[in-house]
Amino acid sequence: MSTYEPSTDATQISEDQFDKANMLVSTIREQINQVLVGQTKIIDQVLVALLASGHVLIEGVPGLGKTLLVKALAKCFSGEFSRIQFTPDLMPSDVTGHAMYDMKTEQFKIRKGPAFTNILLADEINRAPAKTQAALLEVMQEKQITIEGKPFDAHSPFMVLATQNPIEQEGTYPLPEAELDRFMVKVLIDYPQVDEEVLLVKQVTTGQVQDNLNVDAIDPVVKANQVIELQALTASLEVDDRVFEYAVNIARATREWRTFAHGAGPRASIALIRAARAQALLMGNHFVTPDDVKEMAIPVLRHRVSLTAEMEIEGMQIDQALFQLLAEVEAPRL
Amino acid sequence: MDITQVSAKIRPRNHYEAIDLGTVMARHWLVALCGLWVCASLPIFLLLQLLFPESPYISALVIWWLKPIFESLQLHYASEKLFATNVTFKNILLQAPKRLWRDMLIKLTIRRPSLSRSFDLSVGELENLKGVQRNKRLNVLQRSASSAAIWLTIVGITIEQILIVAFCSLAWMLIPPQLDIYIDFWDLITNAKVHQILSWCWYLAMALVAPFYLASGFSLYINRRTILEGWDIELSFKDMVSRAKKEQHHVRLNLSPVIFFTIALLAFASTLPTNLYANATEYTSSNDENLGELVPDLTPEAAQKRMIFIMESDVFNDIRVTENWKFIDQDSEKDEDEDEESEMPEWLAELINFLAQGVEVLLWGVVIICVIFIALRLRGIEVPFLEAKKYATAPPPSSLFGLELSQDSLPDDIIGTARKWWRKSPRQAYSLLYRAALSDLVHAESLALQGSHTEGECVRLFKQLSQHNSKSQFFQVLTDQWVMLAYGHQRVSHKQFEALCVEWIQFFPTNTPDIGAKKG
Repeated sequence: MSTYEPSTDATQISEDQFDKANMLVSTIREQINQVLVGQTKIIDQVLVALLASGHVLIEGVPGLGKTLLVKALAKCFSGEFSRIQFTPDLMPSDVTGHAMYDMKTEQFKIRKGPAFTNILLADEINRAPAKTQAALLEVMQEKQITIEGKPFDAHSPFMVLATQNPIEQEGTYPLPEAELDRFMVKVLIDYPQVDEEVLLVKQVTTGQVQDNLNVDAIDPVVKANQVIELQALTASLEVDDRVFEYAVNIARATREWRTFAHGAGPRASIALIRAARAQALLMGNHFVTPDDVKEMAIPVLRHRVSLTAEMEIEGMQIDQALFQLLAEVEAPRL
Repeated sequence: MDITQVSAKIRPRNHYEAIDLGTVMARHWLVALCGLWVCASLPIFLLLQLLFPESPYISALVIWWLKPIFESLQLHYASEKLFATNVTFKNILLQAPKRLWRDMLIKLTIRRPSLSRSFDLSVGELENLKGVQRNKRLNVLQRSASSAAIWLTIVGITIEQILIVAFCSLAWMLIPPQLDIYIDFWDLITNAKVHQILSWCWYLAMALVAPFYLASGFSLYINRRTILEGWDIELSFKDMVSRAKKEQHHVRLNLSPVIFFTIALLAFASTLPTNLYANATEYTSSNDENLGELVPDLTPEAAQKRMIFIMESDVFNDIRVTENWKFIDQDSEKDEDEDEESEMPEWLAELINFLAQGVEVLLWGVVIICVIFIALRLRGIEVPFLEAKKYATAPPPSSLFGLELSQDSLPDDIIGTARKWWRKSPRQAYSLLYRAALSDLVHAESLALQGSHTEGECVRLFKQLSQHNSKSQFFQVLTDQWVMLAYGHQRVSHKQFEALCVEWIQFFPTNTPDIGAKKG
């Protein structure tokens, strides 16, 4: 049995600081819950990505509130929000920005694109060709945008929320592996329960002329700098070595699992720990437990692995395979 | 029934050729045969679907049971059509109520399990035979055709099953792959909607197979009668008669002097002595009449007399004695003698017969016991001597998550040891408590834990198992404090620890038989 050794690298967080952070996160959650009915788990996963400074890929059939979720999140914090509707003719410069010749001053002026924002909604990202999708790679990983060879810092905090539709695959460009790996979590939105759907319909149809769910009810409860503080606090939550090992073991198991054609890379282990930290904060814990890791394993890994052809033919789903994998990886006991 | 009007070529065929002919007949009248079947069965099927919406398979099962009733309509249509009667679909439908009720009870009970149904049906329906007469007739007819008729039924059942699977697979394949739905197999087979689809698939399969099955059986029956009653020969004779009549008529009408002269010449020539004629001297000399001559317009009585006369004539009673040499093997003579000697003594034959009867009674007894056992099990009653031994539950694991969980590895006095360790290392003390608690859950509470279960999952599983009792609450408190200490590296107060120790006795008594024999 190992002896008790407190970790030395973790920054000490005061109780007050933690309580404040916890309250702030709860408020954001409540605000979004007001408009997005019946998607508590999805909201939590998006908040995990926000706290862990990651990006989210949201997948779901049309009409489940993907865009609404992003709008609600943007409204919650008084930062900048922009939306790009990805289309087959969208150019990389339409995302990042470009240099424009000004006739008056006879100089090139940099015109910044919609990527210069805090929250970027890339709607139907798989409708644009690979080169346009790749325009997001740099800003997602390096948090900087290069226009005409000149690097510009992206806004902080910066988060990309991309949506894609699992049906209507005709005329789409599946995201390349490198791009997928940049997303911390992939969130699957499913249909709400009956009672939740009834509540939703009531909300939309009572005293409202249009079909849209509006986000007016949401108050801006957090500022951009507060989000940065929350992210810093999340990053400093206590993680035991055995929990690190557990996360790495899960990611490594995907590489040896025969169901998968290719497994997750080290970036998956990193994302898993970061997501588990954010999950611990959401749960109101000062430290990360194996439960947090296990909870976030499927959203973090599902877009980083691919099934073998035989398994796909057999009709196996990635979530199913990951579930089986998690049932085999031994959980740590100190 | 006029076999001269038959619309198929009548000749002796082998059984499988006859089934082929039946298939051709079914294809020829497919719409009408299918239509009759559907008209008779669909109203019943729909009614049952409405009456038993929760169990749609009942409707398909009932239709399957009523098959012989619907098939009688098809059989009448096929038989009438084969003998070129002017029967219409409407006529058969109008006669349907009368035909459907005929022999219904016996058809649906004793005769229903018959594997040669399509073949037997013709005897009852077309020959109107019943009881002993029907059995005798069937014995004669089935003598060589029964195996083909049974195989026809087996193949029919198989094709029906294949069609059901094919229809269901088609429905499954039509689900767009983009929907990406995952359906659990057990959910699928217990779903009432799926039962409804299955019942419709079954009904369609029955409707499609029925015409072919029925027509093939009917064709087998016709073929068997052709062989037994020499229909082909009868048809040939009838052809000859009609041809001869036509020729006579033709001769009478168009007899020209030239033809008359030619016939007269031929008649004269035929009276001239030849070698052939010389050989048949005995025959002609003993008969006043020419036996081979075709006598027109004979009454049945006259024909019979003439037949007897012909049969008694020397042509059919030509007894010749021939003598030749034959080699007689001495060994074969010996064998014959041995055969005579090895004939079974009467007492042995009786003994074997007695034993055979005993075995028969025994086998029937086993069958009856099996039926009673199945009936009792279906009603949920356990039969003490016939129950299979219950599977022994797997022994609880001795170690999980790298922790020793066997009861031997724990000290006798867990709380005492934990208190002793608390002063030196709180983490070790909590580790002991958590390990002892897990050991108790695994052994005493039979909680099925796996190596992949996290602390939180252990708590959730135990809560589900114990239905949120106070022990599960205690286990949650213990787990929370253990997790805080182990993963959060936070201190637990002495007060919390003491409270836990005090409560421990209540939920994990040390002198229980489960954790009784522990070593330090």
